[in-house]
Amino acid sequence: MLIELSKEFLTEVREPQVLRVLRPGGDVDESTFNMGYKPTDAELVKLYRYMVLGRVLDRYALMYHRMGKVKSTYAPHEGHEAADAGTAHVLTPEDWVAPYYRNLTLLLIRGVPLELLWAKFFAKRGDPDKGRNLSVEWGGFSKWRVLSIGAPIGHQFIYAAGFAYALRYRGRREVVAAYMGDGGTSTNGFHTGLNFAGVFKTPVVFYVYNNGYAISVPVSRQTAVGRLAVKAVAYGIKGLAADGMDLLAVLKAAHYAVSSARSGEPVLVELLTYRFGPHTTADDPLTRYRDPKEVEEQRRWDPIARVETYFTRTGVLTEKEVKHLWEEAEAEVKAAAKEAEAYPDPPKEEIIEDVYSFVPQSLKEQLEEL
Amino acid sequence: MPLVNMAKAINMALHEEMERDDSVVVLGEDVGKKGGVFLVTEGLYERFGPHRVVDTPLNEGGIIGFALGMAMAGLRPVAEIQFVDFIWQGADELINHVAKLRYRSGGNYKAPMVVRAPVGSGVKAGLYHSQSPEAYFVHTPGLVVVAPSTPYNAKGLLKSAIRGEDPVVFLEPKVLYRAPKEEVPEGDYVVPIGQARIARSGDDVTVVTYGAMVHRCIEAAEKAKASVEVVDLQTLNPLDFDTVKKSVEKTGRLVIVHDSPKTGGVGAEVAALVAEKAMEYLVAPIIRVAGPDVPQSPVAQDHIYAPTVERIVKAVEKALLYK
Repeated sequence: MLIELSKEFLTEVREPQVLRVLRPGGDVDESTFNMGYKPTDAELVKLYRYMVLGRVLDRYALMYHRMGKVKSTYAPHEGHEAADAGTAHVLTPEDWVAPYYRNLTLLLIRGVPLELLWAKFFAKRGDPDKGRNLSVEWGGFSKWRVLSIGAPIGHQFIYAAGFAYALRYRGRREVVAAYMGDGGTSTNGFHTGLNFAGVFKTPVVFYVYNNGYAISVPVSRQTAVGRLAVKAVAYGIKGLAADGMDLLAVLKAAHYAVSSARSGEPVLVELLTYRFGPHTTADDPLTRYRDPKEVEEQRRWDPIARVETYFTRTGVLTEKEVKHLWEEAEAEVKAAAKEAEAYPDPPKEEIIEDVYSFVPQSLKEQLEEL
Repeated sequence: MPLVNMAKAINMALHEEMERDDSVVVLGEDVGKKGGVFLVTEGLYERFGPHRVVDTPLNEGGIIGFALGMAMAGLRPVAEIQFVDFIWQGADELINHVAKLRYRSGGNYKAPMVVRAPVGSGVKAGLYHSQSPEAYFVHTPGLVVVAPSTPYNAKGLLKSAIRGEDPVVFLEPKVLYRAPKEEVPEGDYVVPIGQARIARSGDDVTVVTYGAMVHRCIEAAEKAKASVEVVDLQTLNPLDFDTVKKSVEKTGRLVIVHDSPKTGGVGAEVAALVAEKAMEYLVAPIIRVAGPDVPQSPVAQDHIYAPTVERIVKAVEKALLYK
């Protein structure tokens, strides 16, 4: 039998409301629309272009994977475009990102050229990672201030915090924006990253894309809390939640979080999204674990469709302009793929490069055996 | 020159490197005001302050991961793992991220960082304060693995490690922290990584070893009825095979000694290399003297875990039976 204690001796956590601005029909919630950061129409159009480009590239990558041209497993990010666009936009070019594997639009906005992404997908010369990683493991994109990631989930939160510590140590103003999925919140990386950031007050924003699934496992199997954002409380940092398929809401949430981090207050931001595609090209959700009706229902919230409806309703873009923009994106993506396909394969000798700053004698001998 | 023990020699290296380069920072559990549980970081906090001598939360994955972030950003962190036995919580960070960073980034990122940790049996510290896991790290491409054996080489090797461009696992034999002492220059010098040294010259048997066992092997060499050469590897990866080979070419007999489990140890690698590349010089079978394949090391039998002088002498004399 539970013998009651009075309430003041028990913890109490308030779940935050989910910040949302764009309604599926294209109209806006006036109260949130007028709150916080307000982008111009030109900024929104620019971001929308990137979102379309990201989606088209994603779809072509899947197609080219089926054709055997994309050399390794690919993880589509359809549904994440607004989250990527909004969080990327509020950063300065000097800021840093520590992505996870489902952040393609983020990479585009950081300025990574399409040809180079294709070179990576095709494992060709021109890939900064020298064809060593899976398509969506961003290993060597330092030029665009993208921290290096591997496949194991979650650790980037720790080294993002350490990187941010170093930035502050050097008296710099930059912040680090780090990303992971909802499954990642169960890892040591998540907890340790938030804990270290809280203790050392490092200039870092932690984004969790809660798309409902870690491959097939629903978020209810990752945690007993209702909102991932409340996990911030345990680490003494700020937490907030926003509709990650709502470009306007993401911009407001991200702008707040980045400003806060820049002043030494790290933030956890939960962005609610949906993964319209499979986990990766090696996954088959519709026959195994997901009801097609659910996917269909989620389409109402499609981040790109919602911006389009908003644009056509407010007259920012006409339907004709929208159509033209899609065609343009497709042409760009295809042209870049064609170019990258002609790049040479990385030479055999590269296999022994970059293990160390030097090449050990033993490795030189081992190369002879290959 | 001051007469110092290894803990002090490492402390001198840290002081000098932090003085020389403000990108060098130290982090770990109790490294601040306490100066580390073995007092290796003593005085650093007072000299360089809390931003450069960072007491962290109790989490090895956090320490190594945080250090990795610092290193990616251009600092040169020296992370202390209180006992190497606890490094496994940070194994994912170390093996999947630190070691692979340069490779997976096509050379666009590097992790110039040092992970220091006390290793080894001999202080009756049980199964979780006595391990010698060097072979795990040697088996991880991308990591440099260093095993100092004296105050002099500990200071010089640590300086090389801090100044290098690669991640270094720096394994300090805890039985050597307090003794023996030797004269260590106060000023700047380095001992290069990747080079073994002849700790004692001899003609009849080569004993290859590293870390704490160097001293036992020298003692055994004095006692054995033969002229014994002791090779101190100093760096376990990349291994200085040339020095080993030259010695074996001269003696024709090889004994390998380490304070860690026998199976799959560094001794196995040295033996395999000699078998591959210097078999024709051998007149005797290669003999390994190592710890037994049990968790390292039970308190009650801690004194027999690491190879004793007697076991080493016996191995040397067995090798001498072959002419």
